[in-house]
Amino acid sequence: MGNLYCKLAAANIRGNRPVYFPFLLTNILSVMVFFVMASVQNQEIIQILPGSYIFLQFMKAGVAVTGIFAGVFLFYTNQLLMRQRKKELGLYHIFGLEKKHIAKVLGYESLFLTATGISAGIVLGICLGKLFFLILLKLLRLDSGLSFRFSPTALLQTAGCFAGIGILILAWNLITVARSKPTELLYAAQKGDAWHSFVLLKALTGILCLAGAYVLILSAPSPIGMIGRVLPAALLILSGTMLFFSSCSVVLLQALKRSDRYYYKARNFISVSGLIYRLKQNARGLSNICILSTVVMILATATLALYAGQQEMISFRFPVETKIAVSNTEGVSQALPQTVHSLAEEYGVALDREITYPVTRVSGVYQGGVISVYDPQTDPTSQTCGVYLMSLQDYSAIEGIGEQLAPGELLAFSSGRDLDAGEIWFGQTRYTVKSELSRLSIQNKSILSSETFYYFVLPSQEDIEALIQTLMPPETRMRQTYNMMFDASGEKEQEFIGALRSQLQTDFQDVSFENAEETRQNNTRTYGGFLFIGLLLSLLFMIFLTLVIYYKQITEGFSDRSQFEIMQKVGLDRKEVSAVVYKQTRMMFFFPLAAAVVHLAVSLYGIAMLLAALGLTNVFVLLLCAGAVCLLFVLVYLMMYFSTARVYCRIVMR
Amino acid sequence: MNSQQTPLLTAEHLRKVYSARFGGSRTEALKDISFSVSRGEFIAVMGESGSGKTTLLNILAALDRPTEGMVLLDQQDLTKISDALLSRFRCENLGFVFQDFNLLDNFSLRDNIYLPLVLSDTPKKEMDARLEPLAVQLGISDILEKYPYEVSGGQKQRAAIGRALITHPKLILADEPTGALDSRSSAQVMNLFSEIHQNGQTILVVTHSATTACYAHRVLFIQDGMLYSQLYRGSMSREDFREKISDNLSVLLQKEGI
Repeated sequence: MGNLYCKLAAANIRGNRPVYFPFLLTNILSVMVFFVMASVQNQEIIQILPGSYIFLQFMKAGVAVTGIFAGVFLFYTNQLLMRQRKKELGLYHIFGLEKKHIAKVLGYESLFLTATGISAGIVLGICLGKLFFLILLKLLRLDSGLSFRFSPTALLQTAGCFAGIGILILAWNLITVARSKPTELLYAAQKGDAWHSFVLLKALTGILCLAGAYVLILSAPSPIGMIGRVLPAALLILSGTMLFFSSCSVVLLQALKRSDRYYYKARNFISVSGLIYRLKQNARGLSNICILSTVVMILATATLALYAGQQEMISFRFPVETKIAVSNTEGVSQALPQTVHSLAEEYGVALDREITYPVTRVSGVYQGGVISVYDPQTDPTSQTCGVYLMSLQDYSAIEGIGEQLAPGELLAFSSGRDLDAGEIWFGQTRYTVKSELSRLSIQNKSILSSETFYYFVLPSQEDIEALIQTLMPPETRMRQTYNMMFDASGEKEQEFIGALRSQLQTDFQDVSFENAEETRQNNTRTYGGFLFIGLLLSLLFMIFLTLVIYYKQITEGFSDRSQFEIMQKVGLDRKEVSAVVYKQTRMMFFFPLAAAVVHLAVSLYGIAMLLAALGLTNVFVLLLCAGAVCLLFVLVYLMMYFSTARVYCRIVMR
Repeated sequence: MNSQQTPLLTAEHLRKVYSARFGGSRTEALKDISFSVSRGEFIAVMGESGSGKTTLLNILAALDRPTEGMVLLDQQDLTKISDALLSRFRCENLGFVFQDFNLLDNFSLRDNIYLPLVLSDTPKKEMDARLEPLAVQLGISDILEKYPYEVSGGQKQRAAIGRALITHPKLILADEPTGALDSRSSAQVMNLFSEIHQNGQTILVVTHSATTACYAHRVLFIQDGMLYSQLYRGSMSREDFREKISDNLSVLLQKEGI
């Protein structure tokens, strides 16, 4: 007897191939993505990699996100599947199968689906894991000789997670069957959807949610302030999109239907009424498509911009390869260069573009020509900026030019936007800007940068001392340093840098040692890792998106088939039918795409803020990444549109 | 020649052979059928299932092409119209009534009736003007805004007749129009056909029920793909005509039995 259920289950899956196959495929691909993530996270090399801590944390989060979303998504598709199959299950009931027998059939089915999903997914994961691992190594700029090791832990995690999802889905199906009456099963899905109640209220709430989210993003005061707004904005966009599509589609279609001139045209007539007929289902499908598209684009844009932006950030932060700053104590101006030179000699490294200078840094606030000391107690909103004061003598030494300053005059330089100020007030002391410098050897200029450094060249060291007296910054907000910068070149450069770092740390106080190459490596590990996670998650969501669209077309194709048969009998020819089909699917497709692009465009501002919080300030790179992602996405989306419209056509015309 | 005197529909030596896909057995659904329908005639075609009446209807409706022979509607050969023009032709010249109504669930009854007109881009005013008297005649004025799943079978069929009539077709083809209806609704629907016929509409009904066929003025009997006989109602009452049809049918069945 048990064998019979097993056969019945197998026959069901075979018979419902067009709906089961994509479900199974999604199952397999979700398992694969999960397994790849879990495996990478468990690779020994990743765990011992210096600077990979953040990456590992995010990887863990990525695994969790994959598991949760795969669960939610499989659950959702299962519901679509069950709706399709209600009639079939009702028939079994009428043919004399009891509910517990149906439960057995369902049990076998889900056992088969889950087992196949997990095993095929893991096999695929092992094969493709190598490829993904190579991509990761490439992104991290690591030796590609490292090999991908099969991880039993990842296997257990994957199997556990998806078996759990399978059991949950089965439980849900069993509850559905237990609760249903056979007649309901038989006559499900015939009537059209009723008009929603409270449509206008919903539409209003949806628009308010979206507007709120947009305002929240666009009014973020600072990059740090943006971080706290990410979650509320995301939730608002999510709920707003759902409400918007479920209500606004109704309002729009109602309006279209009421307009005789629009509605009673051959093409609009059929597509509008078709859309109205499946209102709820459509609204849900539309908002799902829109949300998934938004997630894919934002994820890909943000991680890509991080990765691409780091190079740009490094060239902004490092006009010269190595930057050293130590506390400006007695005799340091001889001791520091000496240490560096002797060590360079020892390692046979040549130094180039050497610059040494003392500078005084005050963390201040610049506002309309007035410099004040940053005080978080009285002024928590302003952004701090670095204010650097140096004497004319030191400036001339750095730049190698003779510049004259009268008392009360200064030279100004801004790393960001030009100051364009005729005079600068330091507290009560006024200085006239003799000229604004367009470049400085020790600091690059970038207008797009959100963190700004101001350099002021004062006539003499005494002027600086006097200014400090008037500004009276507390200990922690002022720092007098002696700096040295250089490019090192030679075979043992790496070793030299390492040795120099430890040497300086023992010999001097308050050492800040930055090397472009080291920073680049560190960033690459973190951001390359981010990009990797971003790519994998985008892939996952893209798979979900494809499935949503495919299911939408298939289920609608089957229910539209009889409709189109009738229309052909009444006098619609095939060409007209396919024109209607394309019209209907086009409306379905481009509405959510347009909304997703708008979401992305607004989110870009938020993303720019978040990236600035991480020190990536080049908006141009971000726009370029967003453009590329958007373009690629639209292309893939178009491909999905044409292929699914064809599937739909095939079903309808058969 | 005066068009009033030529028949509206002429079928000449229709033959239809279905061959199995791999060239195996061949079935001759229609052997040799010729008849004509004059303007304003109400005619019924009867036959048991398998007699070829559905094949005949499909050919008359230009949904299928005969293997041999031709069909003239208003002197135009249906079998020679290209596929591209065929839908348009059907839409403009023929009205269909089906056994299972074939109303679209996503349209209200009004929009279902408008469907063929919308497909040929008729202005809304014109459609409204045509529907108003028609809806009164069909007795569905009150339920025009309802959806097919909200009304009874008889009401559905009346709406379907409305859809067939709204294009002012030359010929109405009805395929078992009472097949899915109870006797009371059937009588209503057939009375409606009679009324429409009195207004000058040419109607061809295919049925296997004598009760339905007796509303017509002439009945053709087909059997085994051949025209077997025909009866004229003349001045007979409907009851008498029904009996005559029944007698004829039993003769037909007996012949088959032997």
